[in-house]
Amino acid sequence: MRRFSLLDLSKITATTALLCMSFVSESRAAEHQRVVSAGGSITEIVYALGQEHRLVARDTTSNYPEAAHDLPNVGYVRRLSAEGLLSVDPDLILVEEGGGPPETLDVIRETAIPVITVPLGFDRDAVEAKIKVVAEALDVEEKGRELASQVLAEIDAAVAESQLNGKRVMFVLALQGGRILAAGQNNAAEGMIHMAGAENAVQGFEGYKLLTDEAVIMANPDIILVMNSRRGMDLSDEALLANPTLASTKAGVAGAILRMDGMFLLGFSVRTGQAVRALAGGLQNVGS
Amino acid sequence: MLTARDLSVNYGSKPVLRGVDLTAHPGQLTAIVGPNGSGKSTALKAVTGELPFIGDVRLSGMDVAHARPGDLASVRAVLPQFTPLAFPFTVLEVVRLGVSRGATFNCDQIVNEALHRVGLDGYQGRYFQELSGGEQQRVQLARVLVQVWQPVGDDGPRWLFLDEPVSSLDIGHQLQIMQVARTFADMGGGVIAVMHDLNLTAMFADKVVLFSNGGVVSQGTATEVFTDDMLMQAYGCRIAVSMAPSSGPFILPQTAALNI
Amino acid sequence: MANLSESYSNRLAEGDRSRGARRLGFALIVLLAVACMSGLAVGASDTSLWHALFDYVRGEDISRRDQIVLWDIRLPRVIMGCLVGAALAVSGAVLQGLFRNPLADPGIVGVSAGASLGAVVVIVLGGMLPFAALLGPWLISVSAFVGAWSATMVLYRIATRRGCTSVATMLLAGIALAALAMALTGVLVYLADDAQMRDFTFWNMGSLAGASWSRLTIAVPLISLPLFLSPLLARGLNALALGEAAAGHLGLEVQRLKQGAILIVAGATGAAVAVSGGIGFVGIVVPHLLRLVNGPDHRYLLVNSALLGAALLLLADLLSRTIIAPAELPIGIITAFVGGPFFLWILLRQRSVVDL
Repeated sequence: MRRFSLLDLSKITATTALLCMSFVSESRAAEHQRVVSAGGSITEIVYALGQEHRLVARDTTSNYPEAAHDLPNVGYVRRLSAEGLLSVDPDLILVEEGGGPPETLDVIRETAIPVITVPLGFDRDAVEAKIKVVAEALDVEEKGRELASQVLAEIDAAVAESQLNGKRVMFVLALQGGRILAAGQNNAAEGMIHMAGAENAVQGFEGYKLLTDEAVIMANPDIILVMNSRRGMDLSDEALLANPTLASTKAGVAGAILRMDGMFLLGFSVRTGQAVRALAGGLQNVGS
Repeated sequence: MLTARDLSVNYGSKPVLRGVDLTAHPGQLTAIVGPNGSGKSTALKAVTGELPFIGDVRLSGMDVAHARPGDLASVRAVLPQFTPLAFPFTVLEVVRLGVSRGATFNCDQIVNEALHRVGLDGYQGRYFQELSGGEQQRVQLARVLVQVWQPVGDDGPRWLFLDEPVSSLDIGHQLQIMQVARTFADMGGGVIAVMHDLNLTAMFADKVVLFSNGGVVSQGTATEVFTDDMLMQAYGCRIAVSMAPSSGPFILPQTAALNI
Repeated sequence: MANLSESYSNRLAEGDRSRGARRLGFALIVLLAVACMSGLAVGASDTSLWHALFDYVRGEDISRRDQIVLWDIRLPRVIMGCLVGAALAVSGAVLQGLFRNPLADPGIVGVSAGASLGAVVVIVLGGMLPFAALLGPWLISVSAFVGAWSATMVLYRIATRRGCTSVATMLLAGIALAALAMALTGVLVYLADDAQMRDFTFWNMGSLAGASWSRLTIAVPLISLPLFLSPLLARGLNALALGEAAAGHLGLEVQRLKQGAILIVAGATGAAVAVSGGIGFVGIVVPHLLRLVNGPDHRYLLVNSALLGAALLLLADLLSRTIIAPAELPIGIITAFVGGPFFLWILLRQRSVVDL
């Protein structure tokens, strides 16, 4: 019986939240006490807002902060299971744009549990929008505004300090059979490279693709940027330079390879200001 | 009655059978003999409808080229030279495959009786693949017998087409199986068998058709067909035909005859 | 009772396994019923089927959440699991009978490769295709189904000359066509971005998570029609074990049997793969296991395969959605993990009995 009334309330909340998010009063904040965060950047924001006590589950991509690992894992953000989500008895689900599948989210909406999609993007505005949506969904807009202005200030400061002046960077996502999977346009890696004041050495396609040897030579980056993942699947210098074409580029000859934590670098979340600063500094050092 | 008129078969552009005329009567065992590659198996495959052919073949009035497989199956059964079996069926299951759909008789009784006739009592539970080549051939014969169980049905005689039924058998079983075929013919059914063993042929066949080079060179009773000249012409070696008092012609290759 | 089992073993000694196969069929119905009930009763959430039923019988309201979990999540999934498992197992049994080879599976007639290609086309190019918006969430399924059918029909055309289909040609052309489809899939995977690649990988690993009532309205007729028609092939497939010529002599319309078998397999597998992605091993392991127990008689093999395939897939799905709950493991991983070693064990064990 108790659960029933709770659900009724959350139904009202859902409708209200969707129609007039800005009018949600502080008093109703107590109602979303069981939140699922599906998306690494969302989880970071929830923690940064100090609302982690309201989280009941996270997805596979939520790696930061470390404490998030203690939460139940509802699976990969694009492969969520309806009953899995319901099993943690949530009253709000925050999911990154592109998460799903849509069928699962449709079933969840059937149960009157609100599902809020957090927009994706690879620039300063995207970070602001993400924080805003998450804060509104959790009814902590005031904290959200504070967090956003702090993060944006960090980003602006980092961008202002950067003195890279058009260093050309190639972001290598992975090696596949010795070939290079690199970042082209419209992705998180390029967004970060631009914010740090550098240029993407790789042009001509969207997302991530395997490069031909000629494309590598054409790109001729000054610096190679890679992620070090938590699971020890790092791309070693030896592995990268074993590709003779890559080794022949400026970055290869100089051994200018920069490593950064993947989620930190590409999350476009709370730590993005620090990440831009770290990236800019790293590129500066490794390049000189 | 089986009649084939002007029967020709080509493999690609190569003719294997040229203008063969053939008749066989119910109540008789008709043997087709001839050297390897003379077209005897091809002829059998054509008249059973397995191979496309040119010419006209009628079995009990049915046009074999255009008959439905089901109609043919109800009047004739075919024992191939070799039957590869795909899955581990038991002997009983293999023989049961011969039972036609909607059969009214007690099928298990007939299956057991058929196995008895081919000398495989008690083999019902054995896996077909575990048997020797000769035993497998006898299981297949039992299956074929079950398919045309009554030598004469309500609508006429039934036919057995046997492609080298005894080639892989020992002499005792050869006699046993030939006797089964003989009995089928004696009871009014028609039997057409491709044979290699000329002596067995002479002992059991009412009519012999001798093939050579894709055509029929002689047909008639064994005594008429099995002459020294005719066999030498067909097989290309010297063969002596003697007459055994009890069972008609008796054939020995010439070199073997000299060694006696 | 002793008498009964004695007469049963006598019949076994006589080579008659039909009674055992019928009994096994009844046992499998029970197993399937148990699997269905478990599928409804167990899941990541704490919703209890028994409480819900109890409440329902007493005329009390069932909470909306429980209703949705039982009615909109678990029940469609159980039905879909039954259909897909049965379809994969029956298709395997039919194809093995048709090719007279216990290792045949739908991959051989190009169904899997075609479906895979169909899926990857819309996953990668989905946004650019004109009809994409029209089909919405159906897009991948429809495209996989179309891919499966086209591949099979092309293959059938290639292997059929003068009204006679050569299974040997079909087998060889199937390998070539699968390689071609794989190459095209490779091109599209190359074009794919990171997210699309992940979607395709997950699709390939199979899942019943997409089951919903709206999907079932299409899947039920598409899969159950070929399933219910499949027993018509049984006698023909038995005869075909003797080879095509001997089967013809037994009165079988061999060409019609082949057409029927191919249509049934393309229909059942095409639809099953379209709604569930790539789920391996069911089509090989299930018929093989049943053949070991009760022999290859297709009159029982096809029906029992449907029952066992359905039950096993439901149990695999049960594992898939509870083993790492609240997340879900792709079911294809489970069938392969369980099916692979099991199959090897069977092969090693049976080699001494009857070598296939």
